[in-house]
Amino acid sequence: MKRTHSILASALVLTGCLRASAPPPTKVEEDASIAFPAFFSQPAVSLGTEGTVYELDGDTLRALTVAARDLLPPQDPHVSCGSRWESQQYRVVRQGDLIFIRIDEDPKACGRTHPALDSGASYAIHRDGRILRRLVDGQPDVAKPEDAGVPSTPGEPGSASPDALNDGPSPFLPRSWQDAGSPAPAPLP
Amino acid sequence: MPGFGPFGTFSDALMAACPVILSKPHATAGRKGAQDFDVRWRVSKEYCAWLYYTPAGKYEMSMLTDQSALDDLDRRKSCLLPETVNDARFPPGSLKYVFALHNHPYDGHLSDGDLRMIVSMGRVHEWVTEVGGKKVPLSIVAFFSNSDDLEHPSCDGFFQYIPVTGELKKWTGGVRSGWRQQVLGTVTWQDETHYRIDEK
Repeated sequence: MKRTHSILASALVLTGCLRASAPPPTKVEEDASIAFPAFFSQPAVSLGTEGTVYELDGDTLRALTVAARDLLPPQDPHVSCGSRWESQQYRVVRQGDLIFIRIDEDPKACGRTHPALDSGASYAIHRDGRILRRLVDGQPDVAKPEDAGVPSTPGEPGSASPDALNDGPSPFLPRSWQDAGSPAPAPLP
Repeated sequence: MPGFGPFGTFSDALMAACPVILSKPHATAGRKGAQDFDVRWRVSKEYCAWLYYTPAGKYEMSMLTDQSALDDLDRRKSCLLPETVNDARFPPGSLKYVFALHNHPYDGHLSDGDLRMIVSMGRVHEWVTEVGGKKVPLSIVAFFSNSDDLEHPSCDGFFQYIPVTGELKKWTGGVRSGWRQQVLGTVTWQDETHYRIDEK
């Protein structure tokens, strides 16, 4: 009995040590030629509709699991609310053998109104389960071109461009966010 | 924040805030090619604060926070900015929120999470604040440094997103050489989770 307790205690201590250390770096092949899709440019089909039957293939389920395990800490009872699997929103885009996954913290799951800064990450996962790219919010996106080609102009730091700030509602935000009026369609690109 | 400002213009306040934030412990990971960059990135932290306008006609910065709702073992470097600032010198509700400030440990663009956060704040604060006859739009700023001097990193620029003008900008330069801006694109929102980024 004593020995069992001793083993248990050692296991708990070891678990504690493991939690205190940095997450083991998962091998990522980092294929910079893979560009992430625009995850938010179109409405997602939500799996939350009651009474509807959904089907999820095994490759997608595995990719979701691989991404969640890579980004989030071990799901023990001590994990912070914002890092729990059930406290995230997941978006999936399939392109051939690639499964793109976007994971964002869902503030509502932890009783908050606003999301935290840089609280998401994007993954490109092969259908065989390998992580081909990982991009955590705030990290440089190596697949994007440098900003050097974009022309620059002098200005007062932090100011809006002189011709961009007009009277009247902004065409870049839904009207319903700006006043009590009906939402206006956004301009086409 | 004690010892900070107050400032008469938002640009002076921004330029003063940049070194304060970047010099916090592990606020920058240095250059990507530098030795130990990966370790620096792993231990790096994000700090955030509000830059706000007071009834006294000045710009002030709130206390910096490095709090996040995430676990220490989470790969993300996040910062949880409170919705409001409690400044005991002024009545509640009298402050104007103009810049949500934070650092990126590397010269990385504003993230989807950053864009979502500032439009969420914009829906409870004002999109545009009138300051002495001048319009100052709500925006989010991410300071960065390209320096490998981690104790005294240079303030090399910042990324900015202004929801009401849609502009995604990158500012670089300094007091000596002057500040220059690049408009990297625009963001158009359809609803809370649905938006389009048109890059230049």
